Amino acid sequence: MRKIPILLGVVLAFMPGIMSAALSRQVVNYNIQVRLFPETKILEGRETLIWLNDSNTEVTELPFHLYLNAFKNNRTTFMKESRGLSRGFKADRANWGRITVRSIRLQNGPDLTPTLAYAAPDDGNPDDQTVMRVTLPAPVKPGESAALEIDFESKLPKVFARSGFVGNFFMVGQWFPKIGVLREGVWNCHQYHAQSEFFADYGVFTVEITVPEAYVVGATGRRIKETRNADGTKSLVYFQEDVHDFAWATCPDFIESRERFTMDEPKVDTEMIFLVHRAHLGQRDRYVRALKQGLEFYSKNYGAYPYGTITLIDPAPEAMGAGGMEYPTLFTSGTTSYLPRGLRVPEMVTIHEFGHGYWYGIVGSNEFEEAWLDEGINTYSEIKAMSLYYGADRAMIDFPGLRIGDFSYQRLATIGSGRFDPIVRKSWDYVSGSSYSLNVYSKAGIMMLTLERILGEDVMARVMKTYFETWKFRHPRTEDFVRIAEETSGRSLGWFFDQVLHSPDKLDYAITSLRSEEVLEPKGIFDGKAIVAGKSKTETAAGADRRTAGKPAFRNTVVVARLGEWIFPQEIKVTFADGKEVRETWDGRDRWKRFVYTLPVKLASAQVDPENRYLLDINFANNSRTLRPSPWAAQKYALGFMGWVQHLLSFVSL
Amino acid sequence: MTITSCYKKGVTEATARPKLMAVLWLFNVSFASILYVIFFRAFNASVGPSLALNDLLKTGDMNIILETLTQTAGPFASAFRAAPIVVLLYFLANVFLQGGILNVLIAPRGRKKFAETFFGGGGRFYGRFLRLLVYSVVVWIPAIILLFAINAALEALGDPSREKQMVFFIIIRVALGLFLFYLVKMVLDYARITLAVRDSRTVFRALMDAVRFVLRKLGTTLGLYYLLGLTGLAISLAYLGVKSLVGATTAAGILTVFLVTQVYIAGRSWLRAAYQAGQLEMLTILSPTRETKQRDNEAKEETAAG
Repeated sequence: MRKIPILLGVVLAFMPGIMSAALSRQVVNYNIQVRLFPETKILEGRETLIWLNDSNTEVTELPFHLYLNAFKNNRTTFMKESRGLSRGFKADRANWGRITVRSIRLQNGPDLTPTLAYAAPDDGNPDDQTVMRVTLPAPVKPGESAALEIDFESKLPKVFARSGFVGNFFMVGQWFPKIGVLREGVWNCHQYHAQSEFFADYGVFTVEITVPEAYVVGATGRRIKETRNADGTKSLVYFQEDVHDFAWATCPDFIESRERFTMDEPKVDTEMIFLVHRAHLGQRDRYVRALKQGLEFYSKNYGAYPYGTITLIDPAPEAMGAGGMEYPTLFTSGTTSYLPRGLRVPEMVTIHEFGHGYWYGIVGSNEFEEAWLDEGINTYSEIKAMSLYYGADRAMIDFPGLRIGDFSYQRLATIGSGRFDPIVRKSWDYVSGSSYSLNVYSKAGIMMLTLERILGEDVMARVMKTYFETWKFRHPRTEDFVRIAEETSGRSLGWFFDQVLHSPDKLDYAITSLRSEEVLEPKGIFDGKAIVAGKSKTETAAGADRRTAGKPAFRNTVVVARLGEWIFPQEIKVTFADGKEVRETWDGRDRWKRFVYTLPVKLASAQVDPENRYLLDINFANNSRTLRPSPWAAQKYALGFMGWVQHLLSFVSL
Repeated sequence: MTITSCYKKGVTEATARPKLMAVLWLFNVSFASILYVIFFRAFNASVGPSLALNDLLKTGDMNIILETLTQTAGPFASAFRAAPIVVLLYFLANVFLQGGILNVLIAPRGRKKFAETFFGGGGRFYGRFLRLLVYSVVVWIPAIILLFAINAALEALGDPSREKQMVFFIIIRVALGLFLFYLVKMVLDYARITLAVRDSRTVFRALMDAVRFVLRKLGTTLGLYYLLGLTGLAISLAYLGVKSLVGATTAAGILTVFLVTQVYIAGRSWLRAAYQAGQLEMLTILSPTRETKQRDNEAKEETAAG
């Protein structure tokens, strides 16, 4: 074994003219040569990895992700959990995928292949080979590096979950042996699960890709060299530092186009690279516009896009399983021919996947253990961007008579997110795939919007910028976000985060009762004297007060109830018939609270959380109650429904 | 020439029978009212006392509507559960209406009271038309087989990687499916007309005669069918145009939209009568022998009786 002191600078010096000041702590340095054989769907690869022990602990074994082994057979953890389905796409049992490490050795040192063993740290599944470990002959001490040479062969599956091929289209993601993350002296290297994405250390990637000459390639980073080979292939070298993964895609039917994106404040100068399948060229302008919007929105609101390129891959028809996926400086979007412009799927997917470049790419969230830090924060960002550029009420669907916003869509998902799982949970521990996505994406996104309304937009903007600046090119945890939110806002937010992040419960406050009853004139026996209404001269002082100037008085009662489990402080707006308003506050702890007003006017309405700050409240309809409901609103929808029924009956009878 | 004369005849006959249009509209509105009541009660029970309802009156925002429906799914479920039952009942009632329409169109105008002719016809032909529905499988099955065969051929021809071609094939499939659906419906129309005109009980024979008639005169029968269809399309476009001009945010607006919808449904009822009258004329002109004799005989009998 050869231990290398911290010589990354020396290694990188091999590339003069490319290097710039490192933005991240570069723990890994990958140099990979890979060749694609399109007929067999096989990748032949040779990887040189220099790994820096950036911890205070000696390391005696190295774990690696072998993600493609998730597609090796029907008994892997991924296939068992997903039952061969991912986002509606089905695994092709005739086209399994795999990755085989032929050899692994220390550079100029001993062969470690005999020590190679598979591990299943999450579920002990003996049929899962998505994590391998090798034992080192001597420990790597803190601050030292290990250089390894790995020969591997990857067979791509037919794509249904992110990576793979369809026809001559290849999405090559999670395709090489990737080392785990040593975090506080403990290896973080999880198996590939159906409901989890990825986590890795930052570093430098130099990758030489060899494909047949007709193939168009898009990859992480910048293309720095292109060579035509005598055997009808070409070799393209890509380079990128300060990223934690490398992905690429290739297809002879890609039409490549490039456009610069520049911004003055903050300073952004990057090249947008579009690889659009020829079947979807009619949709290209939608991708271009959405990517520009994404670059502008995220740069303005969180921080300048720091890389020199951003590549958009448009998956081939039938390869939608590869769509909607993020990788550093590259992402896949998705569309179909003739998709109506009012259906904003390509725009939403483009902005969302580009946004992952911030919350998974630049801020290195652990998607295995705290996926919400990526998916939830990104859903929040996506809702804001889509609403800004396409309209809050029509961001997703925009046809005459049918308009649906992104926020509404995510809120409906939040309402339906069940009471099984909290937002923070290991990705594979959710009760189901839908519970994972509803909580990690939608509920977390709506939680962030709720936080924004609690703190105010300006404060929230500062929170987000501070979080991004503090944790860019690092690996935050949930408590890091909470700490920054509290420090930046100067408020204690434990009451909020403890509930919404760690409890599967729901928020639902309601006005359950609203009454205005006339205060009755005294009748009966009072202090031994019989009183007949209207005839007594011994009316109590209190009674006289209530019946001001002979007008009737009303006992107005409002009951607010906590129907959900979460406890949020509440404001209640009570409106009276004369238009006057009273604002009440309630700590929201008890199951209910009654407010009573004895006044000469009747109640008109009452509303809990009148500004709709708590977007997590699962039922806005019960947040208010009026004594004067409009008779026509119900008529409008009932008659509208009747109209639809009449159309249906006409169709049946024609 | 035949097409336009039958079209004119159909339109004239339907226009001359406003009571027929009214009774068809009344049936439609009666069945729909059942669901209206269920929906209205559910809506009021769930969001009736909420201020959100007032917002819904003003905005009509689909986002709010969706959320309201999601949050209060329970009460609405009853309306949606009842809908298929109402539609099924209407479908069966519709068999009765078909007999009534044809009896009114066949009977000489003004000889009998409308109600007697309409309801008498509905009862008289109900069993036969119901049997026709059962026998119609012999027409539906070949149509479905043909559709599947063409779908399979398109699938074999199609290249999934050529997405535009696949989209085009989907359009062809849908168009073909609709064409066959309406073709079979048209055959059944002619079968019912044949049964009514002949006052025959040989339902299967009438169906086969209708098939032969339509296949022999395919261009003409389709021409009339689609010309009337275009009329229906014009009515629908006019309805949508008028409806879009009215904002249903006030009581007056809501009532206006409701009335416009009822006028449209009445228009559809008129169209339905026009279809039957036009196709009756088509059958009479192009297959005059038995049908014409039958009608002439009936007319003579009625004249003698009168």
